[in-house]
Amino acid sequence: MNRLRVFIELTGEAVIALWQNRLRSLLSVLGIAIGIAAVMTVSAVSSGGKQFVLKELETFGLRSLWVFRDYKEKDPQSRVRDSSGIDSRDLKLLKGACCPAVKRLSPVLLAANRPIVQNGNRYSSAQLKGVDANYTGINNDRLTMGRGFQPGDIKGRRPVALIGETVSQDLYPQSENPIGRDLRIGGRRYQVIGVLEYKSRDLLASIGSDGGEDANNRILLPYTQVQQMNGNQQVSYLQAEAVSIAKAEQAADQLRLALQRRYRGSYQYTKITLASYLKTVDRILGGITAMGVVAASTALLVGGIGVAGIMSTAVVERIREIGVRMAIGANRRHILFQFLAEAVLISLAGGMAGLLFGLLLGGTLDLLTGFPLMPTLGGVLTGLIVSVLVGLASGYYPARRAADFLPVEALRRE
Amino acid sequence: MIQMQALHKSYWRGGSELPVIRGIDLNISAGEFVAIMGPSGSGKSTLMNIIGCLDLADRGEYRLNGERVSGAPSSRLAELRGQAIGFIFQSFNLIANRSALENVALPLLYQGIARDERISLATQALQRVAMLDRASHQPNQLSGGQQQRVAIARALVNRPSLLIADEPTGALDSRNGDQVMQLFNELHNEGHTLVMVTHDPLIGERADRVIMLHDGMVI
Ligand SMILES: Nc1ncnc2c1ncn2[C@@H]1O[C@H](COP(=O)(O)OP(=O)(O)OP(=O)(O)O)[C@@H](O)[C@H]1O
Ligand SMILES: [Mg+2]
Repeated sequence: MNRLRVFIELTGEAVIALWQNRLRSLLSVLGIAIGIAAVMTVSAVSSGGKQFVLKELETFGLRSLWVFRDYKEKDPQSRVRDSSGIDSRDLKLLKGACCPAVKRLSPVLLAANRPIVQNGNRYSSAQLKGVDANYTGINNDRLTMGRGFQPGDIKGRRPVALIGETVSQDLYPQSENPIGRDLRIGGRRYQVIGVLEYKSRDLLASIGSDGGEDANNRILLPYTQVQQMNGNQQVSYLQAEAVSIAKAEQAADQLRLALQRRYRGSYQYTKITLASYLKTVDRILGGITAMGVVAASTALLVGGIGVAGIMSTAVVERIREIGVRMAIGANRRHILFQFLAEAVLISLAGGMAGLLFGLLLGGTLDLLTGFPLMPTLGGVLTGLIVSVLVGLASGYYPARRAADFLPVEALRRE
Repeated sequence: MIQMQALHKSYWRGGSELPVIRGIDLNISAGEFVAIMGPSGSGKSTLMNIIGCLDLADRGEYRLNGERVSGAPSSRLAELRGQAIGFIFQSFNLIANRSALENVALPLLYQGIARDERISLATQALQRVAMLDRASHQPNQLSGGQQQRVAIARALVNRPSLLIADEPTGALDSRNGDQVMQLFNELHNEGHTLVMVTHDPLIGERADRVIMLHDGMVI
């Protein structure tokens, strides 16, 4: 108990010494603060950036995969060259036992021509897609109004449509509820049954990774309707949902193989999985983070060297005081502890200032960019632990030197 | 209280040995006032540092209150300095930027004594040297004589069994020096054991015993 009290009181002595040299202490606190703030900002930016990208990728459905004919592969039997290689009569097979890693799938049909989409004298440039009732679930589409497709809409080839935000704005006045209203596609009448929720793919679009599709300028129709427009049974490609992200590649391969077997190798198929994008994003952001952390750690290292320098100076300046303290009963551990405490207090204060600075910086960037840059509790704790370690590392050598003096030697110094 | 036998200490300078203490036998009993005198360079300070556990002899035996100091670990030496010995320096050696009271209380900190008790003991010690009215002054706001009295209070605060002083009046004018000497006389009369290095023969006369050092030996 008494021993513990000595060390608590010595921490107080360290605080007094730091306060008596407050300008100098402040400068070394600043050095550490810059380092910690840099490390924190880098890791916050990278994890915030990842969340941001992830949020946009979620708009495709994280377990999504696409299977379509690989047109680059020569058709070995020179048959039906322009076929998409997938037919709506294949769907029953593909939804069956061939593909256990597939949770659900939907055909996707693109309109062969670009029909005019209008409501009276209002026009839309929307892209048309024919899908089945599974599609919105697979593609992570939510509705702000109305209802989605029912199997009956597909089988019964009903003239109903789901429209994106942009389409709704283009075709209907703001005051009007589009649900139940009509629109004309190539002269045919369709009834709007639902409006798709707004999807942000700004970041992906800005780097050309949105697949050229404006998610908010879409009209979804029962695929049976689009087949009728196109005048054949072909399906442009399949979009499916795997049972898990880990099984996405497997699910895509199961679909490819099933199709190849069905057409006896007449066509080759290729796949895209969102899982592979996730991996790429991880790798790129991981690389950027590593570089940033190395750069930021250099700032922290420089701060630590600053603390070591200040502590060495302090030991030289106060060598006589050290001698006096030894003469009145301080042992080596007391001296070591006092100087280590000074170094740790400096860098802990630097750590806290750095965290605060990082929070302010993160908050500002957050407001400016919409990136979520809040560090986690774990990140904050890590920052504090790291700053204590930096203090111990940079204070140890000077403190050790102070403690290793013989009392007479220390007292003899001027 | 102090028993020394065949004590030797050398300094090494540029590879050659400079013997400073050359075989000293010395016994000092509790309650004695011993003055150590001798020419400059005769080894007085070196001997005092060894007595005060600030330095170690190379050879020979030193016992303090019956305990062998010669082979003790540095942590035990620190304990002895903090509990059994009060050291008074020629140059006062108060810690700058700290008040007289804080300086006097500091030895108690290393003994793990609580703050309230530290302040009350330090206040008593300052009162003993008639410096209580200057308790909140910093060393640079005190005269040399006042600083030395504060330093004496600091040496007394742990109630050590042995007070040692290396030329305590060496940096003082005669009036201040007399005051400090008056204080030492009182402390001796109260029963403190006192070992003091001095050049002043008048002080030597007041001591129970004078030990003359010459070239590291008692003559
Ligand atoms: N750290 C040291 N390194 C080398 N020689 C030293 C050291 N300290 C003291 N000496 C030498 O030891 C001898 C004795 O020194 P000491 O300080 O004990 O003398 P002193 O009797 O106290 O002298 P003074 O009356 O001048 O204070 C001197 O010759 C001195 O030069
Ligand atoms: Mg001397």
